[in-house]
Amino acid sequence: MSNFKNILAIETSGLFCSVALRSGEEIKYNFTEKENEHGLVILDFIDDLLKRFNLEKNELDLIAVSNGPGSFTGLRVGCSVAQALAFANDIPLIPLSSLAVLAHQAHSKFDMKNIFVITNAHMKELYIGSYQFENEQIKILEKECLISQEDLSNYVDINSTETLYVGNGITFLENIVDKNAYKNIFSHASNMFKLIDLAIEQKSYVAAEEVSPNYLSGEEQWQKAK
Amino acid sequence: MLVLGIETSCDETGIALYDGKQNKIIFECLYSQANKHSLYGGVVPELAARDHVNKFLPLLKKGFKDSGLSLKAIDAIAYTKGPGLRGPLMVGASFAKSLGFALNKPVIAVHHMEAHLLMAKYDAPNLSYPFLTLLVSGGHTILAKVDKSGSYKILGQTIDDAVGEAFDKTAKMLGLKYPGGPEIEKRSIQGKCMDYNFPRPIINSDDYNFSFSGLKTAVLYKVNSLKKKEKLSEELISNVCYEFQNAAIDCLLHKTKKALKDFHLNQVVLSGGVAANKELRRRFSEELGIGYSSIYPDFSHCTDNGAMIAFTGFEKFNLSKEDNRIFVNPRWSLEEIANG
Repeated sequence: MSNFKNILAIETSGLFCSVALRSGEEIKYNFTEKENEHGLVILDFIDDLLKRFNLEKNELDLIAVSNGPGSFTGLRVGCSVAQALAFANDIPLIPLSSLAVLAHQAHSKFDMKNIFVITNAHMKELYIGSYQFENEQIKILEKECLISQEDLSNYVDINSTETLYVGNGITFLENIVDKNAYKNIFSHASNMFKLIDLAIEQKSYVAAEEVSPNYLSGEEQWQKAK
Repeated sequence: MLVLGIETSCDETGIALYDGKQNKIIFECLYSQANKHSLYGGVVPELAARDHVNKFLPLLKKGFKDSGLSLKAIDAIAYTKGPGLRGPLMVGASFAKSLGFALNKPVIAVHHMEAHLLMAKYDAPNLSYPFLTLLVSGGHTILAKVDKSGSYKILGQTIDDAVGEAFDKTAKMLGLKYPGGPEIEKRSIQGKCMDYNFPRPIINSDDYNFSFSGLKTAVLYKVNSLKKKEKLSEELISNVCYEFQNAAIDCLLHKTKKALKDFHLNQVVLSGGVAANKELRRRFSEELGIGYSSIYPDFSHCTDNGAMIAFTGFEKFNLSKEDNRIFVNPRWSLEEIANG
């Protein structure tokens, strides 16, 4: 596989914080069902995982973080923690799209090739991304973006049997056929490792300071509000 | 003992390393986002938080590179836990706790305003307890008695706007750029004494409180009536600045004198961003009266900075050790230092 034996994965883009550690082939994880408690639990979660594997903090080889889009505060906690740990240990980081993580999770669970992710960005907006999984690879069909709820119907084909729609934003899809929609799925750090391996293959790991949250909504939002 | 200080409570990312044994600041790095926020006429908390994330590691790297020290050489990490803006504070807290966790070093929570006032001890080592302190910034206007490090009694504070906020808002009315404090100070130099009769709200009240909202409103009415008669010339703007600044300083000076007298203190430490105002310093130095003295941190330490957090972290080293939980206290009171 790779030179990265001990890999930490951090997922703080949604309501629930999860952290997973893979050492060799084995994956262990911590997860909370309490909403928006990322800051309160994340370091204790990591500490606990290291202890369960009997590892020291400086034995981590790589950290992956789901860097968005999602909860602004959650993303900042996840990215800051990942950056600080990577910088202190002089190890690389892998940023992963939170939507791609969710898509992969759905792909593994339902064995569907095409996954369309819709998550609630609040303020009547949605994050969307569309992916295709084939031959152990992930392909981006629709570039991740922020859209208004009204525009959603322009992006989806509710009669499609080829595509599975997932994420907490699908409640905004009217008349969706039940069997191709699944809303109760939340990103989980333990499901990040397939994408991490793909990223390692492509050598898309970077130095700590090169990672930042991908909010998908830029400063123009505030310029409009001025 | 080396303490790393991290400040992110508002719109400056400050990182500094302080050597407690030698009482020396090894390095200080500061990135101010003022230009970004000047587009909006004030700090946008979400954008401030975003910028802290982007600037933190590059600043930290630069500090250690320039000083030739290794991050692993530090003994503790101090960070601003509050008061301040929640989003920006969370970024500093996340980095501080994670660095402490990764390096197995203790993490110390610092109260932002306490750091401002204690920093005067670094810049003026002869300062002795007890003393009076006047904390004046964009978020605070507090008059407090300091019996010893960590023991503060708030005598009075603003009942509406902070004095720095009044400076910023007045500057905005006059079309001056953000941050308004330094702009008003600069314009005042050219300003003349007029008969605008700006109020000195609650200056004669029998307490140590301040109020600046009435002054701000009076300026607004004056500006509007001046505008009706003629175009707001540079000269008029300077005169309004002069009169406003004078009124604001009168209020601060009057209540400070009263507190010094009533509590039998003879020194006052001024700190916070507004304490960088030269006219304020001049008038305090000249008008407090015989037997009283005013003490200030260096100009660079009046505005937010990492050095004051590192210095205060060292002072607090034996008192406060934090666990792994990352959370902040945006409304932390100076009188509840022990319950951060």
